[in-house]
Amino acid sequence: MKALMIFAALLLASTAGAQTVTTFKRPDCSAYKASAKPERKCVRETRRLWQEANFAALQKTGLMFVYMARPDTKGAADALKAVQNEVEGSFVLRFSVKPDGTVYDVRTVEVTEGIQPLAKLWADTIRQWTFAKTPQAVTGIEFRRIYMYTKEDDDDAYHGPQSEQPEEH
Amino acid sequence: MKHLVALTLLASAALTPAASRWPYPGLGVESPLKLTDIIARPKYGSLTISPDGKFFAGVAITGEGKTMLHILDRRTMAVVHSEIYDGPLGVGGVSWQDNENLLIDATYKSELAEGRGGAGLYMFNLKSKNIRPVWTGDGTADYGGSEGASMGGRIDDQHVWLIVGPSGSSYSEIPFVYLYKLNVFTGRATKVMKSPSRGASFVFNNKNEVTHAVGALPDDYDTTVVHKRVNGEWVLEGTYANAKGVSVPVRWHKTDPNKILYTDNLDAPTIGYYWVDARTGRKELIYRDPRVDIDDVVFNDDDEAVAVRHNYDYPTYVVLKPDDPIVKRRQRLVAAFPDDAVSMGGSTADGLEHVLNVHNDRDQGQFYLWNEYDGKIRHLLNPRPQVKAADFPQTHAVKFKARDGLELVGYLTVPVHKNMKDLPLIVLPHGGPHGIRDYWGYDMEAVTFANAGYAVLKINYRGSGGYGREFHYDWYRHWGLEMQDDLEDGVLWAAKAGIADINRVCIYGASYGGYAALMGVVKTPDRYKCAIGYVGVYDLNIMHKYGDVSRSRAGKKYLDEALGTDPADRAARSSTPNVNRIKVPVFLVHGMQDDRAHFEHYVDMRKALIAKNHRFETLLVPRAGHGARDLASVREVACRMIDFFDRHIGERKPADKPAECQFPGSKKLPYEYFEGGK
Repeated sequence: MKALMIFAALLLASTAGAQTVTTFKRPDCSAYKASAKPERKCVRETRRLWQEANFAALQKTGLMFVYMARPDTKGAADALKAVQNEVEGSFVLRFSVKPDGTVYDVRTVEVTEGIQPLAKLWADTIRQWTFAKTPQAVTGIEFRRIYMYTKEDDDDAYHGPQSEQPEEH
Repeated sequence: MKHLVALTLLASAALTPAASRWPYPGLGVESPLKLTDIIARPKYGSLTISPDGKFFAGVAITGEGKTMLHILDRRTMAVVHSEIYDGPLGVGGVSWQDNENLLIDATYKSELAEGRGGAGLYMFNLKSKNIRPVWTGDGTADYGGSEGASMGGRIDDQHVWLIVGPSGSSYSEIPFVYLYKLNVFTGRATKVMKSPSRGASFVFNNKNEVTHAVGALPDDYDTTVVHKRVNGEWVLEGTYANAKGVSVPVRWHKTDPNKILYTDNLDAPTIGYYWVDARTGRKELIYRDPRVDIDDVVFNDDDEAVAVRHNYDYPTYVVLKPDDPIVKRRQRLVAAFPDDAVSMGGSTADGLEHVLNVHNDRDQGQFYLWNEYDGKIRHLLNPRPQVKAADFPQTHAVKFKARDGLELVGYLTVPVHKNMKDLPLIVLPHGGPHGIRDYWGYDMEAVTFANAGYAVLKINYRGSGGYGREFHYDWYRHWGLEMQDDLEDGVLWAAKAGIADINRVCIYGASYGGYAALMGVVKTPDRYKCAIGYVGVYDLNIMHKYGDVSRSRAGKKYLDEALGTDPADRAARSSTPNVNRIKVPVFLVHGMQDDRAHFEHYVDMRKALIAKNHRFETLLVPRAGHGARDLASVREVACRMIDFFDRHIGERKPADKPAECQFPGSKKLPYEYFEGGK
């Protein structure tokens, strides 16, 4: 049931055709009430499902990374600030890959208020991605990300120097 | 049964002998691999990925023993920088402190060194290409300035724990250790505390506070002492005799501040894992196998145990929560590498990419990159490009019953170019003996002999580790008794199964294995056609008196417990005093600097064989301690051993002249052939 609710949110996000700035609404976490740390569990599960949606979107294309750049917050002060201020929200990007493996046409499909700098940071990052050569261009690959924070604890997060937010794992 | 089926299938396959590439005429049969290729060091021993996924750091050891640190660009896999260490220091291990800095655990290189002793921590910067010392003993004087240290884990972006103890092993008591907090950028080491017990390790809570210490008594390797920290003071939680069971804290629960993970074999002989409520002491069993110790538990993000790993015979994962995402991820790896063991060699900071080391009985390991985003597993490096895994002999786990009904596990390595029927057999007992065991996987010695045409049988005889405390400790003082019978029972099983030719069996081993080899031809003189002892123990009274073990109080206690206190009984279970029972040729190989199985063992056994006018051969490695380390010596030792087996259970005749084992460019080791019998 809880997975269904999160998938519904994912589905809504994916149907948006052009960039829209919306207000972020947290998914319903009531299903996790029985957990020892319900909010933490909800945040983690939500992040995981969003990430798995990314995995599924890419894996159905058959593309293979040659190089997967990570976001670098140096020179992206607004993005870093959004993370430091724990601004909650989400975005959906869409990108395409040429036969030579380079990325083109990176678009923001949906973004919630306050998360625009992070959407831009990720769009810039995705432009640097390189894939193995592919017989034909692959278009419309979705990349989504959700930013949720919990006060219950954050001891599972890695705060590395290049890590632009507490990661999903 | 599964294993027997596998063996039968292999035996029925008509394997075509490969063309001989063996470079020494008269040695061995059709050997797919050159000896030099088998013993060659892999091009890369380890490979780790930087937190941002841009670079790999690989550690390599050259044939000359120099260690090299290579930095590879992840996009191209080209080496963009290399550091070669050809002085007394080498690279033991590396870990990424951040995207630009690599922490290097330096080691001293020595042909005599049993392990490779710690020589401090260094930091390598990718941008400047500079390497600088972080900790080389400065700031500590707990052992008069001759301290060694090991990394005790990462604290934060700037600090690591450092466990400092004395260098070397010449202390009469097991020493205390000191815990330091080390700033890896400034090199400043701050002493945090002294361990409450000897040789201790520390347990930290999620706030990086020390909560427990697990150590030993000053004079006893076979005790475990657990202390807990209460209001800044150490309080004894328990002193355990390992033979009767121990309960040891491992780490705290990630989210529940009241739960702590313990390993425990108090309730049953084998090690199981428990969650323990720190307030009430209530134990909640996670998993235990009645046959074998659990080696590892896999936890999910909520710290629920989702799988456990053991090595009863093959490496085995037991899934506890099949629907957990971590289990599903792991199952993808199992599906990709169904016949291999897979270990993770580090991950990117976002947890999306992992370096995998995929290894098996025929391959020391291939490096792959697993990207969870695209779902692809990409081959990165083949550390041994000069050989093909298919040319290596296979190793099968086998199980058989000893004469008293005890089930034993062994590993049988078989030549690729022979049908598995009536093979000449080498029994290869492991060293130790107590607490050590053999595992399924690549084993250079087994591969070397199987490549020369021999089946090789390694047995986890009673007294070995991993199968519970009773299997381990109950057989102290049983050297030469049931422990020895288990090896013979393995031979009888292999012969009955049709794998081994009972008339062509030799026994070979190093250290305790050398003891068992010579005791084999003393105790059952008609069972074996020859024996090789390598850095072997041949007289328990010499072992009781000479060598590094006997010099410490804990070592003396261990020797009393393991060997017994009665000199006459020890002599009765020793090969040198019973040399007159030996009927077959023996070959003794020893390091002249050996302080573990002291050189005196070799000297006395040689004298006894000469006095008996018994046929034997010897090979000495002048600079070696407890085993040859440099490749030229390893190669010559292996060549001589194969030649010896060839003449006694192989294609040649016992009276044939020993082959030449001189290799181009290497100094010949002192070899002696004593014909005897005249």
